[in-house]
Parts: sequence; C-alpha cells; structure tokens
Amino acid sequence: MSPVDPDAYGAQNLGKASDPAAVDVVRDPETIDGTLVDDPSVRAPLVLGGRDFHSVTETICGWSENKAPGWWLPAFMFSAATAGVAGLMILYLVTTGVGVWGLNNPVAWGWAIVNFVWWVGIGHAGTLISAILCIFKQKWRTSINRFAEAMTIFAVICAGTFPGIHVGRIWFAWFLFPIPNSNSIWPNFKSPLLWDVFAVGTYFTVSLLFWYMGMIPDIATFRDRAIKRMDLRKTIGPFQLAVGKIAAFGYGVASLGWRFSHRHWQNYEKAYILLAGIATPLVLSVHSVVSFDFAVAVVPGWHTTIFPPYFVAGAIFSGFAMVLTLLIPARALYPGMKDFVTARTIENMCKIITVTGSMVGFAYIMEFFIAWYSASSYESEAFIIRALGPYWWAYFIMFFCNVLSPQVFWLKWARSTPWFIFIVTIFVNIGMWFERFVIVTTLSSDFMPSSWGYYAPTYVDVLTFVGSLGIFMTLFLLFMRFLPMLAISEVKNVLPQANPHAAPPPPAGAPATNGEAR
Amino acid sequence: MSKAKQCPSSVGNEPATKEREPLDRSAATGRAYWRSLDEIADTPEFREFLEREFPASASELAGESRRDFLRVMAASIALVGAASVPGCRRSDHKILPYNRDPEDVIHGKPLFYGTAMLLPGGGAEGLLAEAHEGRPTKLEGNPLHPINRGKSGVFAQAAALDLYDPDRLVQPTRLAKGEPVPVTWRQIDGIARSHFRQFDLTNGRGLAFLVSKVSSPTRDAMRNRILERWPEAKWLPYEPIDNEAELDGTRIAFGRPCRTVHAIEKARRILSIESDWLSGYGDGASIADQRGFGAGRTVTDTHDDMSRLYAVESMMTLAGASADNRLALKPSEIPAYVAKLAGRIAPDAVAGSDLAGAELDIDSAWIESVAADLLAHRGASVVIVGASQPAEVHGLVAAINSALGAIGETVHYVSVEGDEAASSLESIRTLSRDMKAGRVETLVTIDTNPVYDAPVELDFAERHAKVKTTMHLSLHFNETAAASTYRLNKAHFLESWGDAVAADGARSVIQPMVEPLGYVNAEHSDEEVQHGRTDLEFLAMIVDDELRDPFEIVRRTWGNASSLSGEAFEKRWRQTLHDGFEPGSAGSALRGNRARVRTNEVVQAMGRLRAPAARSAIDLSDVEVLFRPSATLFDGRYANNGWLQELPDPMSKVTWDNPAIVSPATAKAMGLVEGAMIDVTVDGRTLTLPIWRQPGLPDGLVVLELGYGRERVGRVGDGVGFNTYKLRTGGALRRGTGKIAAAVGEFTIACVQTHWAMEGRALVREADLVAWQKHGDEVIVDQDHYGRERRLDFGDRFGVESHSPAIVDIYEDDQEHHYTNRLQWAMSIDLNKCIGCAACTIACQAENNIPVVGKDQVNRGREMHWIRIDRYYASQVSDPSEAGFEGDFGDAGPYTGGRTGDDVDVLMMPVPCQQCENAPCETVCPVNATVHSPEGLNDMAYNRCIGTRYCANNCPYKVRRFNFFDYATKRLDGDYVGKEALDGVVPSADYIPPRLRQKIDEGKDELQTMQYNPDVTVRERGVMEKCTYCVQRINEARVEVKTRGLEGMPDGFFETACQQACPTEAIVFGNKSDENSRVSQQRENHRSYGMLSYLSTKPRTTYMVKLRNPNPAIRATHEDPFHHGGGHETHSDETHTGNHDDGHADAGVILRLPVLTSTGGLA
Amino acid sequence: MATHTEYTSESGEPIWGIFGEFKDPSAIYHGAEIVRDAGVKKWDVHSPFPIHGMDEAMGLSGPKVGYLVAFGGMLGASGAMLMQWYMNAYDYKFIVADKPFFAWEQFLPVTFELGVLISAFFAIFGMLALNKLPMFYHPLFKKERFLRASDDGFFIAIEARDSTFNPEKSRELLERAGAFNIELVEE
Repeated sequence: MSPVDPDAYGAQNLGKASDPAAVDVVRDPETIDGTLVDDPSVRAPLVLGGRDFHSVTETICGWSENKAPGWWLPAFMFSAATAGVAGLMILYLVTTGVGVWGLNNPVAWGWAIVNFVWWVGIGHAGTLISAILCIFKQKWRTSINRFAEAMTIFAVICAGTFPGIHVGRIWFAWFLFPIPNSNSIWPNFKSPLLWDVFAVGTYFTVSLLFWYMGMIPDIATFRDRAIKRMDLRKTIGPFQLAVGKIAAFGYGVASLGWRFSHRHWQNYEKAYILLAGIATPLVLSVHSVVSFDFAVAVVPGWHTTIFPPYFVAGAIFSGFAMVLTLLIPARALYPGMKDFVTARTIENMCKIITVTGSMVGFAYIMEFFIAWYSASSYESEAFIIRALGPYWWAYFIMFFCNVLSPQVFWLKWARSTPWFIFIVTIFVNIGMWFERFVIVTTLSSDFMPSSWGYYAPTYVDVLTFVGSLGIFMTLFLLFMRFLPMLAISEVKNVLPQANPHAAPPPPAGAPATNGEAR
Repeated sequence: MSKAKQCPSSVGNEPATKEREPLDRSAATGRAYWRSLDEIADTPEFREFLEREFPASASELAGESRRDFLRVMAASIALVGAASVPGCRRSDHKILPYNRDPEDVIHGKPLFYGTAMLLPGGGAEGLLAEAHEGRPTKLEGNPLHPINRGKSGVFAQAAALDLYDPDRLVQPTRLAKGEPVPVTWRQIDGIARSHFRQFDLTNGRGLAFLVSKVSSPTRDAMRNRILERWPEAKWLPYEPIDNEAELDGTRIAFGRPCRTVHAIEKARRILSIESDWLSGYGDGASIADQRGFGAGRTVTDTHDDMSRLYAVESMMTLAGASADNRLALKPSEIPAYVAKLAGRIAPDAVAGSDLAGAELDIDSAWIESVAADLLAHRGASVVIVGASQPAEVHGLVAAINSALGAIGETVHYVSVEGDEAASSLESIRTLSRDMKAGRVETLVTIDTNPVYDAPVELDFAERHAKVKTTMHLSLHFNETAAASTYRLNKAHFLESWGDAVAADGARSVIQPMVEPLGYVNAEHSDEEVQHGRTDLEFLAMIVDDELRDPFEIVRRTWGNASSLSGEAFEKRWRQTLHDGFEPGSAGSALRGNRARVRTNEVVQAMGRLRAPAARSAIDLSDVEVLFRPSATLFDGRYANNGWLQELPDPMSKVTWDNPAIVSPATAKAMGLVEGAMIDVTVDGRTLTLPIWRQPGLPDGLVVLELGYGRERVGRVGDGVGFNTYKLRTGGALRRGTGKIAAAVGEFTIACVQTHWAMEGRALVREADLVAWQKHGDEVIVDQDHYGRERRLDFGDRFGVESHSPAIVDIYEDDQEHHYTNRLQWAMSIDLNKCIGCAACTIACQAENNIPVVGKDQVNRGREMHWIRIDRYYASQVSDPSEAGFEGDFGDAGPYTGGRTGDDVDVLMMPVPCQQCENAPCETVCPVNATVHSPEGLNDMAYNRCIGTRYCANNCPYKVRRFNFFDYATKRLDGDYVGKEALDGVVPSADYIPPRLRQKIDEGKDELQTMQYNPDVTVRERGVMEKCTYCVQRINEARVEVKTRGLEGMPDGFFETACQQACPTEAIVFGNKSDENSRVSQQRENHRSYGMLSYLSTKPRTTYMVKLRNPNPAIRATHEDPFHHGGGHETHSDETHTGNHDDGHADAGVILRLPVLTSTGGLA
Repeated sequence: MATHTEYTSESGEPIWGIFGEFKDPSAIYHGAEIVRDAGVKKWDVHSPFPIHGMDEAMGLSGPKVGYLVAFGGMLGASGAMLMQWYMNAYDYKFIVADKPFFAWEQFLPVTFELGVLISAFFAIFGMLALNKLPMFYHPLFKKERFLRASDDGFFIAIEARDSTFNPEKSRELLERAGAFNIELVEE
C-alpha cells in the first residue's frame, strides 16, 4: 500500500513545475495544467507537479497497489458479462453455422470482417505511438505508450477473434498454417487472406513482445515494492501474506530478475530502439496487408491501389481516437495521471487525429476521381452506389464522423476540452467502423445486377460485436488494475532531474529523497 | 417381422422400442419406411450402435458386439443384396436396362432404363431413369423418343425427388368414426370385392370414378372393363388445368376434338397468341416445340436467316420473353385481335363477325404487317393459341393456320378420344351435381384432388363429405385423401408398370425402377409391405380382373392392340422396353378432308363472341383476372417437391410463393409495391394475397397462379403460398373479371433476383439480326492502350470491353503453360436459343445433390442453384423519364410506375461457373481449396475448404454458393431449424444444439438422401460449392473412353446435366482443344463473347450474342448495335461516362434503377 | 562465482562485492567516471532508468543486439521465401488462376512479415541472452537498500571478482566517487 494517495499527489504540488526550462509555465488551477502554451519558444513541461523519481513510482504503483476504486469492480463485472455474451454468440455460431449471421450470396463478408478491420485499425495506434514516436524522439509519448500498447494487444486479440470465427469450418482453420497434413496440401501463399494471417500474427506477436519488454523494468519495480510491502507490514494476516507472496512471485517471474543494471539497460535500450525500427514498417505493412484483402480482389470499389495508404491513415486515425477514448476517462478517474498525461499530450493527439482524418477524407474524395478516371462503369457505379445507393446512410455517417467531425480540432477550445474531445473520438470510432462497413457492403452491388442483394445483420452479428467490446474492456480493466499503466522508468527518464549533466533544482517542498531510508 | 424386406439405409429411423403412433398423417412421416434392421437386429448392441453417430465410432465397437454388428450387416446385405437394391425389393419382372449388357451390373456404374412419364391432361415424356445400384437418382430424356430426343422438362427432372418424398402415403388407412385406422391392402382387397359387388345389381348406378386425365391405353382398357361391368357407373376424367378450349375449338373447326401438335422447326414465322408454349408446362407445351424453336434460332454465319416470333399476350410468358415483337393486350382484347388478323388471312372465317370490325387501340402494323409476313411464309408459318383463349378463338386459329397452309406442315391436329377428349369441367360438374342429388354412393378418386382444386362454386368438399363411401388413391395424403373414407397409397411411376402415349402418338411402356416403397404394418403382424399400388392394380381389384399384376395387365393391352403374336410380339415387346417406346408408333394427324377447317362452323362460333370494351383508365373495381398454372408446381401436384418449390418462377424469379401479378402501373394506381397485400375479389369471393409487379403486363389485369396454398400435402408444401382455386369458378376456369383493392399488411416474398435492370452493362448482349448480317463478318484489329494487337469481332464490340483497356496480365510473357492437356473443357451458351425454361437449373440440382434451403434462406439470398438464369428487363424507350420510370436509388421499389406493355424486352442468361482460366476465386483462397485442373476446370476441393467465402466475394459472376447451414442433411420444409419437431419441448429450437437437433429430427429426410447421386460429394456446412462442369461425368467419360479404346474424346461423347436437359440445345459443352468440336466452333463464331472479359478472367464459358429479328414495320431495326457510329476505335479519346457501354445498345437505354424494396431486399 | 572469492565477511560468508549509493543521476555519472578511471572492470551501475551518457561514463563499448536483429531478419525473410517456394512451387504444384507456380511477387508480403517476426525474436531474446536473463537470484537482491534501485536509488556495485577488488580499497574508491551507504555484499 502506497503511503500517499497517488491521485492526491499532483494536487498537493499545484503550481510547481519541475522543468527549469518551463518554470514560467504556471498551472492553471482550474485545469491543473499549464502546458498548452502557444509560444513555440517555450517548452512545455512533460511532467507536472514537481515530481521527483520517488513520487512517480509512488503514484503509478499506487494505482495498482491501493484498493481498487469503487467503480472498478462493477465496471469489470459489466465488461466480463458482455464478453460472456460474445462467448455465447460464438458458441452458437460454431455449433449452428455461419448462417446465424446475416450474410448472403453477394455479401459473403459482413460484420465479422468489418469488426476485424476496425479492431486491427485501432490496434495500430499503440505500435505507432511506441515505435514511430520513439524513433522521432517525441518524449511526450512516454506517458501514453504503455496505455496505447496495451490497447493494441487487446484490440488485436479482438480483431483476431473475428477472422477466426468467421470461417465456415472453424475446426479446419489450421489449414491456414503451413503445417504438414494428410491432404498434403499447403496453403496458397498467393492469397491476401494468408498474407493477413501472417501479418496479423506477426503484428500481434511483435506487439506483445514489445509491450512486455517495455514493462520488464516496471514489473521489477512492482516486484520490489511487493517484497518491501510484506516486510513493512507487521500486522499482516495469513491471507494478505499469501496474496503478497503470490504477487511478489508473479511479478518476480515476469520481471525475469531485472536488476536495473546499466549493462542491461544498454542492450535493452538498443533492442528497444531496434524493435521500434522494425515495428514501424510492420505497423505500416499490417494495415496495408489488411487492405490487400480488398484491394487484391477484382470487386469494383475494392480493387483500388489507394487502399494501403488510406487504410494506414485510417488506422492511425482510429487508433489515436480510441487511445483518447480510453485516456480521457482514465485521466478523470485517476487525477494523478494528469501530471503525466498533460493537456499538451492530448492536444498533440487531437492534432494527429485532424491530420489523419483529413487524409482519410482526401482518400474518400480521391476514390471517386479514380473511379471516374478508370473509365470503367463498373468502378464508377460502385462508388456512386456506395454514396447514393441503399447504404447511403452508412456512407453519410462515415463521411460526417471521419472527415467533418475532427475538423473542430482547428479550434483551440475544442482540442483542449477533454469532454468534447471524448465525444469527437467516439464519433471517430463510429465513423471508422462505418468506413469498413461501407467497404464491405460494396459487395452488395458489384458486377452482376442480377445478384445484387441487401445485407442486414442479425442479432448474433450485433451481439458478437458488442461482446468483443466487452472482451476488450475486460482485458483493459485487468491491465489497469494489475500492471503499470504508465511506463515508470520512461517517465522518470524524461524528468528534468534525470539529465546527469544538469544541476538538479533544489527539491522544493518535495519529500526528502536522499539519504534516509524509508 | 420381415427379414426379407429390409434396408440398411433406413437404420436409425426409429428406435425399435418406440411405441408406434396411430396411423394418421404421422404414419406418413417417413420414419416408418422399410421397417428394417432395427427389427431384425433387435439386439441391444445393435441398437446402441444405431443410436451412435454413424459410423465414425464404429471402431469403438469392441469384440463381440462389433462382430455381431458385422454379422447383422452382412446378413441384411446378403438378403437385400440379391436384389442389388439396397433396401428395396426388386421387381419380380424383368425390366430391361438401356445398356447393352443388362447382366453386368457394375457397382459404381449407373444403369439407364427406358421409361415414360404421363403428363397431366394427356401426353407423355419418354425418359431414361438413371439407377445407381438399383436406386433411381435422376431422370433424363430418352434420346430415341421422338418427343424428348434426350431432353427432358422441369417436371420430369423433378420427379426423381417425388419418388423419395418422405410425405408420401405409405399404407392404406380407413376413416372410422373420424379416426384413421391402418388397414392392409389385403383387407382393402376383401372390402373392395364385397363392396363393389353390390353395384352389379344396379348396373353401377351410384358408382363414380373421378380419375386423372391421362393418355394411357391400359388405363383406357381398364375403364372399358369397368364400364362393361357397370354400364351406369360414371367414369369422369378430370384435371384442374385442362385444355378444353383446344378440344372445343378443334371440335368447331374439324368436328372432332383434337390435340394440336406443332412442328416449330419448320416454321419461319410464328405468332403466339396468349400461349405459354415455350415454358415446358401448360398450354400444350412440349419439349418438341422448344427444340423446334431452338432449331429455328440457329444462326452461325451472317447469311443465316432465323425465325421470327410474334407474341400477342397478356401475361408475360416465356414465349413473350423470346419474342421478336411482343404486343401486350388484355385477355379480352385478344379475340378481337385474332379476328382482325383473320380478316387479312382468312377473311371467310370471320365474315360478319363483330370482332373483326371492333375498335382496338393498337398499331395497325400488328395486323397488316404481321398478316402479310405470315402469308409471305405460307406453309412455313404458324399461329399458336393458348388455353386461356376461348374455344372460338381456337377454332379461328385453326382456320388461320389452314389459310396459311400450315396444317400438315407446321401444325398437325391429332384426333383424340376417350378420356383425353373428355371435358374436365363437365366431369366435375356432373359429379358435383350427382353428389348433391345423392346419386353417388361410392366415389373413387384416382390421382385427382378435387377437394382442393374443384371449381369453387361447386362446394365440392361439402358434397364430397355426404358421399357414403369414398376411396382415394394417390401419392400424397392430400386434401381429398383426408376427406375420404379409404385413403390408399399409390405407386410412383418409377415404381410401377404402365403405359403412355406421347403427344405425337408414340407409345411407351412405363417401367418400374424399384419396387414400391411401403410400410410394414406391424399392428397386423403381417409381413406384407403395404407398398403403393398403381391405378391399374387398383382398378383391376375393383373390377375383379383375372389379372392383378400391372405388368400382366399392360402386356395384355399391348398384346390385344398388336397385330403381332407369339414370338414376334415378344420380340417387339422387348424392343419397346429396351428403347423406352414402341418404334414407329408415332400417331396419325388429321389429313386430307378431315383436316379441312369447317369455315361455316367457325363463322358461326365467332358470332358468339362480343367485341371487347374500349380501353379506359385503370379501374381497380373492374379488372380482368387470369388464372394460370404455376410454372413450378403446375396445378399444385408438385407442392411437396422442394426442388420445384425453390425453382424460381422463370419470369418473376419468385420462389415458394404465388403473388398476384399486376402491371407496374396497376400497382402504382394502388400505391403498392412488392409484398403488399391486396384483396382480389372474383365473383363475390375474396382472397388476400401479396402483390408482385410484372413489366409487360397490360394494365388492369391481375394474374393468379394456381397450385399453391395446399393444406395437406407434406412438410414442404403445406401452407406455402395462397390457394387461388378459392377464386376460380367453373365459368371462369382460365379468366374472369373481378376487383382488386389494397389490403392491410405486408408479406415476405423470397425472390432470387430482386434487381431487374442490367444497369447498362454488357452482360447479356443483344443485337438485331440486320446488325449481325451487316457487321457479323467484321473483325477490327487495333492496338490496345498497351500497344498490343487486339482483335474485336462482333461479340466483343459491345460494352466497356471495346473501349476500356483490358486488365494486363503481368505474367503474360513468362507464363508457364498450364493448360496444355489435350482435353480443355469449355462451354458455349447461345443466348439466341435460350428461352429461360429453367430445365438446366433443375437438372443440375438433380445431378449434383444441390440442397433445397427453404423460403427463409432464399429470402436471405442463400439459394444454392449452381446454374441460375438471370432475367433482365430492358426498354425500347430511349428516355427513361419519358417512360415514367421514376426514381433513382432509395426508391420504394424496382421499376416504379412507368409505361407497361410492349415496350419491355426480356433477356435471359443462364449463368453457371464460367471456369475462368485466370480465376479470381483461386488467387484469394488461402487454403488452395479451389484450384485449376490442367484441363481448365476450376475445381473445388470440398475437403480442403474452410469456408472463408473470399472466393464468393471475388467471383465477378457470383456463381459460388455457400452452405451457411447443414442444408444437405436438413429438412426440406423451408424451416431450417426444424422447430416443429421441437415445439412443446423447448421454447425455441435455437436452444437445441444442431447435433441433438438432428437426432430429434431422426433422419426424417433420410429417404430423400436416397436420391443423391453417389458420384457427387454431399457438401457439409461451411463449405463453398459451385458448378464443376459435371466433373463426375467428365471422369466417367474418361474411363469409358479408355475402356472402349477410343482415341481422344469424341465430341458429344457425354453431356453435362444442364446441356443434356436444355431443350433448345442452347448449351454446348466439349473439348475446346479439338478444333472440330461444336464448342470450338461456337467459340470461334463472331457472336461469341466472354462475360466481363475485360477483367481478363478468360472465362471458359462463353456466350453468343442474342439476336432479335423484329418486323421493321413494328419496330425499327438497328443496324448499328455499337456506340458512337459503330466504330469503337473512335471512342478511345472521348470522355467516358458511366453509362454508355450499353449492352442492350440497339434498343435504346437500359433501365438503370438499383433500388430498395420495402421489404428490405435490394432491387 | 565461488572460485573468485578471496574474501569473506565477518559471518564467514564469501563476499560477492561491494556497493554504494549515489544521490542522483549527475552524482552517479561522475562517480562512474571515477570508478572507470580506477581501472575497475567487473562492476556495474544500477539506476531506475537508463542514464544518458552512462555508456561512456562506464567505458562500455556498443551493444551487440543490432547484429542479431540483422541476422534474424535475413534468416526470417530467406526462410520464408524458401518455404513458399517449396510449398507452392516445388512440393505440391497447383495452378492458381494461371499464375506461375513461383510467383515471387506474391510471396513478398509473407517474406516481409516473417523477416520482421524473426528479427523481433532475435531483438528481444537476443537482448535477454546478452543480459543473461532471466536470472532470478542475485546477491544484490538480498540488500534491502538495493530495492530502491527500482524507485529512486542509484548504485555502483564492484564485484569481488574484479582484479582490483579489496574490501577496504574498493570502499575507499566508492567513497571517493561520491557514494554513501557503502555496504559489502555477501554471496
């Protein structure tokens, strides 16, 4: 148990900036922030609240060590129940047949693929924040990368579920892997769907390893604190002792014996930056490969070369939106987080959303031009039907949510008002889902007018999707409870006093950190 | 307990311990078929085995029990094996297989037997039944039979499924105190003997027979015996759908009732008057007519001429769809049209007729020019008239045909007598009158269902109930059976001996393929199988004939009729059995004086007809009503046949229902679209049914299809559709007047093609004959955008392909040559010959074990047909808005409003898998489940398929079909979940896991699996399937060629199922690497084109441009079917807009209206 | 380690080494420079986060992980291409949409992905291997003070294995470097 309330900490130190270069930034007592400086010559601090190393540890570890907040258990139960619904729906699907979904002959892919692409897209933000921002040395990423990476892992888990269950004969899904079999048939490496298997599989594996690797030092911190906690407690009961031992053992195993050795840090940092280097093309490739599922097909409206960049932009777009969707409530629920996830971080993310949203919008418009320029009536009509046909409403929702709604972030107020940002990110999430819906339902009217048919989901489609949200939230709540939500060692690294060449400022008012044992 | 009559296929049908239900309908639910192994092998081990999932766990049967099982299995197989019919008793009489070596039953190799199928109302089809190890699986046309010549109709194809209908009557029952009591045939025999003997005293007064109207010499002979013994008995042939107008009309014209037989192949000019002669059902349609039409549409080079078909009709028929010029008139206006036409061709016949001078608001070219055209082809022209026109018009048409010199050339009138000459209406009225008067004590109904389909004003059911003894013999437990005292199970024609006379007089013997299926009556501890009896056996029993065996009865008839005897007769008889019909037995048509039309009689008759009312705005309270047989269920007799229920109507593409059909303008006048309910009132009786819009219909007409709304027929057909017989009176059997009004509610209609327009795409390509004659020889050589030479012939110059660069194959230059095998399969479909009859669809279904999915699944767009027929409407109107085609996307329905009538062209296109060489489906399959064979087939490895459905998405032709559920093993009642079986057990069937559900259903459909073709895999759920070019036939042929030591593959050595069924020979299949093969030659033809070939899919199935040969006086012909002045080469620099690649180029603008129906279907 | 032990503690346990604490990153940076200059080889710096420039301050050469990643990438990519060639163009040939059996262009996505995957494995597992992790026991863990390395403690530890090691001299060295709370560590 942390002796200090992790969320009270920031408030106590109101008005204290820890970055000497930003000393003139005064925290606005209302927003408890002051990082939204317009003057480009002023460097906004990355961490607020006059944090020292210990207080960073205390705050971040405190979220996991202290008693769970009151909302956590109900939220967890609700999420788990929703996830259970997905389980039941999948059971029904597997035992009865894919026909329980609303699929039909022209539209042989439905919500499952929509959900798959949506989730994968969301997953991209984590890697992007970790890897690309890492390479570009964007230090503001340190406060959100763990969060975003966790989101990636869970989103990819949800994403991977859908192509897994959407096949007609799940029990033969292993045919997708190059496993020697009695049929002596190998998979077809010319199929985009197989590329997808490899791309998403690789992406999940690399993301998981990246996430875990980043967490090793922080889990070691958890480990050490768990050990210390057991020692400190004199009146510890047998149950708490057992729990403490399990926690210490679990964190101990997971931290692999990390002892903060600089010889280790040296390899670790190198490996981290290399992973970031290979994850960057990976993240770009994965959504490109996902887009090949459509782009490689001959279907009008799918067969477009614009898809890979457009999908990647859309993935970043939706991923950042989902990070914000999670971060803004988390920031409100854990006020201590505001010291690390500053308003400026959020503002930066809003800017990226606006940029990528505009890129997506450009792609939407460009598609029409390309379709017209192709001189193929099949192509051009596919796009006309998309926008004006039976699914016009979906196209409208997509366009409004993805292209128009993020433009509000041109206004400073909009991108600095958390609740408003939250609403816009919800719009973006919805819009990006509909983008995939619009693409998939292009199938409803392709080459053969005789076979045109309307696709509508069944309740099983809907509940499976809702259930996947439950799976995601369940995993996320577990993460928030039991793992370091922010990257402790990385945050410490961006504190001004972490610089060995700068004289540390006198620790004004902060609890003594040197000399005395605690 | 029977040890001799057993069938391993029926294992597990019913646990032996289960109490048998009282034999109501439940006795006919199929689980009682062939009491079998569970009775002989009544050991616990065996029962346990049966209860398991067969046979995956067979290895678990340890030691003793496993041996027991094998012993039992061996014993049972040995017992039935003598018959080489698994589970079916073998006929006691020799039936001669079509093959040369009847002794050599080679397992895995089907045998073909010649047989015949009686057609309702008269006529027959000569068939070959394909039997696998004694199990008939498919019916095909007899190549020797003069009518069929290897082709077969939709109903004949579907009859194979009827044989295995699990809802057939399986044993006789008797109604006692309102409860059905099972009886044995032996008891029936005894009852009948004493019962009918009493009529000897009254000379048969009080005895009535209502029998189906068929042309069977032996049945006629039985009738004669009955009437001989009981002269005052009533023998009443009856069909609900009969061609009485034709009989009466020929009576007027020739003084004797005749059947009209056409020789369409000789006709260069055909005028079809309200006749559905091309559809393969009703209106005297025959395969010979279809074939003749196809022959007349053969165009190979630019010098070829082709026939011209005019259609003057109300309902859009297949003849109207194929017509070169079509005129839509109300049924009441048509006699006037015929009279006016007769005024130009046979003026004598309409002398003094009101009609000839009546006002008719039509283009005069339709009279002047058509008459001139017909006359110009004297002796090679023919007028065909349909059954819904009155007898007078039939008489007049005979006169016109006579004046055209058609009689004896393009049309033959064949005299009919006996049952066939009888009037069904007269029969049913007589019977009803007698019943009302109490003059009927015993009524025997054979193969008729008057309680369901008798004219409604006769109150038949009520009067029938008053008859003291009623006996009913039929295949199904139908409405009449339910009302009868004795309900007797009839043998299917594939189970029975009989004979038949085809429309042209060819006589066939109906040979059984299997012993009739039946039920062992356990309650009577009688070993006799209560299998069905033929009508001949039944009548012999009634009349106490000395012969009881149908085989002997038939042979007696044939012996009596034959001039031969002894050895010579025997030889002839064997020859007949072998060939499937009696050689040289074609009938004799009226000739000489007898074929002379009695003009005076015709004139007199015409005097009875009155001129039609002048046309006015649509008046919903005064509409004409046209009754027509369903294209798929006919008069309702096929209502329990899942194949036919699910076969889309050729025009509306509606399955599983019979909506009221009106013109779009009529629907607009009511403010309704598809699926809305309307009240149709005829003669004071009202029926509420959904509406369907049919372009090409005259306004103010409602067309009602008969045959639906069966109350008792079986699990498939019960309650499907609406019983339109309830509006049909004896006075208006074919057409009447009534009123329509919007009613409350909506109805879901499962339609397989909800979008009606081709969207200006060059899918079906069509040109006028003159355009072909002018441009057919041209080949344009130029360079495409990539600098490669490209050659465009006639068929290639339509659509986007001619001015959009083809997609480039990046592997073109370093291609490994995959398709080098000497056999390269290809198919060519001549759209000029296709009439859209759907025989191919149903033949494919029979051949390839294609499941029926039910209405709900069809409505979800999950029908499984491997070859579908796309039907598009196109308009001659150049400006859609001028035509009143309103709206755009998001509109309330397809083809909203608009002008109707003759401005609609119909385009039919059969679409099987195109077997693309560059198959888009193959690239995207992640598991190599669909790959190409070196012979150019796009193969499906069902075992490998995991069901990603990506291939279906990427198929530009949308020919792939996915098993969303276990369709192949599920019930056929359109209710996939099988909730009936579970009602009362759980709140919803959805709570039951499928495996358990299957057990609960307990193999109810097992019987139907007997129909399955053993050469074709039955697909499980989660598997994609599609046309394979009948790869099983290819492989069989390959073996056959090898064993016979032939060189290569002779062209036409075998046919695909669709090709074999196609009556017009529009489908040609063969080896394209053999340059002399028909398919190669057709592919070389300048009319050939590949659908969507610009995608570079290189389809192996190619199409030939449809040609129309319109009368230029009626519609201007277009010499230039291409755009921009005909030269595609001028296009490339022009701005391309979305809509100028117009497949229907010669005929103005195609309707382009993708819209949403109110029921949620994309239209 | 026992073989290198020359010293024992008061309780008779063999000495693993000695460690001292530093106040902040700057202090430990300069302290490390002093220890480095004293010629100590078997020693280490423990800090809650990697301190910028510490490699130089400790006199460490560059990390080797990069070579492993490059090797892993090449292995994965070439292995993937070979596998695809074997499966689709050699072992069981299928005509797929009339494309060549070895359509290498279409094998590139999987080649890329497997290259990335294997190189990522080499990066992470290579890093762990170079760091000799996991190692669940270490003498330093026994020191309660050392646990602060995961919080805000900065330590330099000199191993007894080092040739310059002497409990007193090393203690002096650490003191000179600016350490406080210097303790001997038993094995």
